[in-house]
Amino acid sequence: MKYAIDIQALELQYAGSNRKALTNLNLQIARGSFFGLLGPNGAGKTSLISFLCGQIETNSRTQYQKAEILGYDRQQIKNYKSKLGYAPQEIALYPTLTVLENLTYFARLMQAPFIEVARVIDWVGLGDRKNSKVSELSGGMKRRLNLGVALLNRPELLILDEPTVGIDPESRNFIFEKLLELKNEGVTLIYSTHYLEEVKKLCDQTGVLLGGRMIAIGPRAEIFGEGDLEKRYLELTGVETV
Amino acid sequence: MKKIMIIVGHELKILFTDRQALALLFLMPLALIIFLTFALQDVYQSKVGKNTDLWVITTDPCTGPSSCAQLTNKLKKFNYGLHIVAELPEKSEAELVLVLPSNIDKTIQKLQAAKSLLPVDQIQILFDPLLDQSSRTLVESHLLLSLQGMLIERLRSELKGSALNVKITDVSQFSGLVTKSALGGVVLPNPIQQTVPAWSLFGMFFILIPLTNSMIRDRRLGVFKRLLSFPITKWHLILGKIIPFFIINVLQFAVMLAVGLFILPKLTGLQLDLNFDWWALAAITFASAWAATSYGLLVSCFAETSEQAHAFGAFSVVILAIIGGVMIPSYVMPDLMQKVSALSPLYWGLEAYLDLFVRKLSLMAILPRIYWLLGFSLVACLISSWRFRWTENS
Repeated sequence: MKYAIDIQALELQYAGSNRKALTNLNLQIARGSFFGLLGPNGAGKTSLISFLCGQIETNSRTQYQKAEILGYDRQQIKNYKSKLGYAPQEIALYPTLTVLENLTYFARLMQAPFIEVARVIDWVGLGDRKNSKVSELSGGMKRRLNLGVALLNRPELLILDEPTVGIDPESRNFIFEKLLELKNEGVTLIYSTHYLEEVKKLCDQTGVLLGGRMIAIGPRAEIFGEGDLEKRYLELTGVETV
Repeated sequence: MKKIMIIVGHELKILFTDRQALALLFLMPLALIIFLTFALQDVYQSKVGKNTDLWVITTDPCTGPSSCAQLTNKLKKFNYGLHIVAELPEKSEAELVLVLPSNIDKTIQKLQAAKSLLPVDQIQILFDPLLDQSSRTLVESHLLLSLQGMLIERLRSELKGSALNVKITDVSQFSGLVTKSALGGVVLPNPIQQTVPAWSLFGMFFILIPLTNSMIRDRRLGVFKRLLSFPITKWHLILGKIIPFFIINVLQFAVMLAVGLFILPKLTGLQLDLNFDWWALAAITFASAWAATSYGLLVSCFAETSEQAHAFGAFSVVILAIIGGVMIPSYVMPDLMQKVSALSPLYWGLEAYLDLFVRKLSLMAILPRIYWLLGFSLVACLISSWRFRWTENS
């Protein structure tokens, strides 16, 4: 199985909307890739991630020729959810519970053994804060923990939705290092972001969404070259806001 | 099932750290039950006969074996504070006045001769205009019973020594029976029988405050969105969310019932007797708890924010409580309002509890009211499932 994700001609439309959120979308991501997903607000990044994570139910408004995720058809979502990790843009944690309590709850729902909780606490570098309430953590620590929850089941495919929004450079670098570690371990990563420098630093594959269409996809070096990323991005999308 | 229980345990853990929510759920109905039981004592039970002043106006002597003395002795057994006078004092605040005709002995003899209880139209009862109809009926009943008792006693004394030995029980001991049928056969609850189920249901429906908090918080935090990528379904999540609040609802009722059974009788002298079908009690409580949690779920699926849910939720529960007979008993409402009552799940819950506590009906007899509660719950759950949103903007 060459591809972690293999999608052809995906059309997605929300109920009550007369506009398609994704149009004739083709996406192939090889296993072990670090895929950067770019696009302005409203381009369809969240819709694509929601489709991949199973957050959108397949119905008459969602059509595709092919949609295989980790070798399973999208309809067999139950089969690949246990191999999927997802870190939402929001800090999706319980602020009144401790680091340990949060991780334990999500691990139990994922049916991950408790040893994974200890591993993740160590991985996100919060060993000395495991009994602190999430509300007492800094923004960077919360982001690390938010990412940590997505790793409790040792995923083969990790989907990250703007994981570095609003954090200090130190925590950002910490997250970058850890994500590259995961790539080296063979995990496929999909990384949605507005920061072009992050794509340059981390990703080997890139896709640019605009108006629900994938307007560019391929190796980062081919799409952006080695020059000014922002200039190339503006040429591709025609919009000034990344 | 295991995943549902994990969510249940998690929700209970969060809920038990929320002291404000717990205070709202337990202390509010508790305070309402205690204060309203005291405050409404005279609404649900006629105060007539509890040392109420009864002015008896007579020009006859009211001592010895006279009919006046016999009649007033009988009336004393109904616990009236009797004042026997020739005429009413000018500045008295009398609520009840009995005007006996002069030479009442002759009237009594006429009645006795007729061997039947004719209307005692020669005895006049005057009521305070503000005295309610049930109290008026009660006084009339007491008077009739007293006259009846007198006649029977006289009959008994005449039969004494004859071959026919008739044992006649003093009818005044049946006064309780008369009290219960004061409103044309409608059985009135005592304050405990009314306030315990009524305000427990009110408190149970306020479960929507913490329930909507929990649902909207998880939606806002993005936890639902995260959980969607987990190997769990929408129903795992919905059931995991409502079961803890269902448990809290049952606990709420158990605490309120314990107060009604063990504390309020000591404070008021009234009883919530244990002579009822406990299986029926469990069935009504479970159905009411499911209705309350389903309603909370429904509100949480429509509300955008906690503020919206709290404002609409609290307002709607108060309205449902008013039309459901919690705040104003449905039997005192006009016919139209009594029909509107049926729209409130609190009405079905309250009537089911009153069927059990006051009317002493069996589970089978109460089932139709339970079916209404279950029907309401099912419809609320189905609409909630259709409206359920995983994210704030979906």
